[in-house]
Amino acid sequence: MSRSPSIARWALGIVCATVFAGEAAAHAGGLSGTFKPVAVPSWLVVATGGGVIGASFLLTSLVTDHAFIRGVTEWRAALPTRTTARTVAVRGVRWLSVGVLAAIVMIGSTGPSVAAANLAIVGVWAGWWAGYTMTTYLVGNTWPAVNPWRPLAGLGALLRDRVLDRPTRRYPERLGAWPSVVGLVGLVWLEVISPIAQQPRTLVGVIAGYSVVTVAGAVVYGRETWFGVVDPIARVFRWYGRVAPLQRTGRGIEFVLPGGALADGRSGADETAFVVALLWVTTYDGLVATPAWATAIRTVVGWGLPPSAVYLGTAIAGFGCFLYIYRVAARWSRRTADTYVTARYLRDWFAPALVPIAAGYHLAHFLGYFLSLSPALVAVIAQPIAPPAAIRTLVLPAWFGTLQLAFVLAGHMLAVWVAHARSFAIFPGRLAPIRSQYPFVLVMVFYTVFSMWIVGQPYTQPPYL
Amino acid sequence: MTDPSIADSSATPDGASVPDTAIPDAETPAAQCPYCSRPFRTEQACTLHLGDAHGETWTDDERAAYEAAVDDESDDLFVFHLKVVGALSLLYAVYVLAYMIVLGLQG
Ligand SMILES: [Zn+2]
Repeated sequence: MSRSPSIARWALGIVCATVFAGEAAAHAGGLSGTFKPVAVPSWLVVATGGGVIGASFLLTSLVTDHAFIRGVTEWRAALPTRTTARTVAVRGVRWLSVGVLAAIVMIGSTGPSVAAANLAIVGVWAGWWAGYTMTTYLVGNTWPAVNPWRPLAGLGALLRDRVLDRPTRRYPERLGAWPSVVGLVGLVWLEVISPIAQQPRTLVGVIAGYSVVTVAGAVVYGRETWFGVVDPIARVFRWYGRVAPLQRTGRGIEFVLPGGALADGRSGADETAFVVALLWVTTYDGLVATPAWATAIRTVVGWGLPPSAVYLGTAIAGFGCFLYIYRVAARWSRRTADTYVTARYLRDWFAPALVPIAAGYHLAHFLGYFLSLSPALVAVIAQPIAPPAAIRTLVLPAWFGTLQLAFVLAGHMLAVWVAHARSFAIFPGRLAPIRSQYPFVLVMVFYTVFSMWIVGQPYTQPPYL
Repeated sequence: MTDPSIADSSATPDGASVPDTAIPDAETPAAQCPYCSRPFRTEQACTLHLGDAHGETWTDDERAAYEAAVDDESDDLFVFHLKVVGALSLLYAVYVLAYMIVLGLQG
């Protein structure tokens, strides 16, 4: 047993220990043993979660003043920003991010093959997908400024104009956000079935493939169209960014109350599908690491189906299932609200309320992962080519499991509030908006129970991978 | 290289727009908004909508009707909130009982 750097100990108040590299690479391994410190049986904890969501809906229903609800969601405070300073900073950061991408690809293909000692693995999973993603919903969406593929696509566009001299092609509008829905489910499936969280070389291959598709797409259809419509990663961060308190507007940067930026605006069926897909993939990522999943998948593969097809099939079927349940809830909401507003409109209208749930679940899933791997991240950033032989990771205290459950609940509670504010924006009076929420709240209670159950399961390596 | 026709649809604010509606074949709407022609299943809903959405342009009659409808709804809302408080108390009682039984069995 050795001690971690004192800064980390001081900042986190967490006892540290040396863990073997293989264990450190275990995806989402920080979640195991969530219920151990509590004497209360897990079914009761999970049922309490469902009860808390029900209670928060009941409490929210006491707030029925249209003007007050609008006042909360529309409250804004402008932050002073200097345009020139911002432009310079954004340019610098943009090229810095290209450098980081290059370093990740280089170290990933030539660096140590041990996952926890390789900058590519630790940087992408702990640094970017866990750590950076948290900043997009906790602080603000900075992805347009730091996306390394944007300047690369800019170079591509320069070449297109100079060498080929061809205009951008028109993006078929009827496709809308659908390619990004397919891309998101596809990326998460790939993340689950391939060893991109363990083998640096495979990860570099996937990054290279994504880069080629992204830069080519941005060159052919134009950068704004590609990153604004097609690219699934940019869309994930844009939605997460709407949960955040800092919002970029035409006038500069504004500070809003939680969920304030989600309370207005309407989007189409393709965006609704994307939000549901976002919710599903965060669930799927956790679901595949539960013991129940391992048992089920062994049974199905025992019937003679290829494992990767089973994983793909379940990824698509689960998404379809989520979408179906949400549609049924919207149809039912039409009856409880006693309205002529179409079910389709309601579906698209309430979809943004689902985003805080995905964010809360992401935080529960990845904060522990990020914290436990943060010493490894520091070590591989400091010495990317020859990292120390023993990579340290943090062992999180037992109460951390309770904190994770609190994050799941907080996401749901914010979702209840956003849906409440949205219902008051389209239904007249004070009773119809509340009644419109009955089906959604019922679904949410069950979903809370389901996701808290997943978070509380011990980490199990998904079989056949 | 920018295509203005394909904007970021996730950030289009149009909260004030009229929602799409559909009326079943066998039904005639009880009321329709004279300003945005949105149909309603009850007269009361339409009256309340006038106050929520067209408070700047309405007539004095509509205003009077709205105030009456708000009063009516307040009575219903009071009963509803009593039920909410009842449900909250019940929920609380059920969970306290569940915890007492479960922890009692363990201890
Ligand atoms: Zn109207």
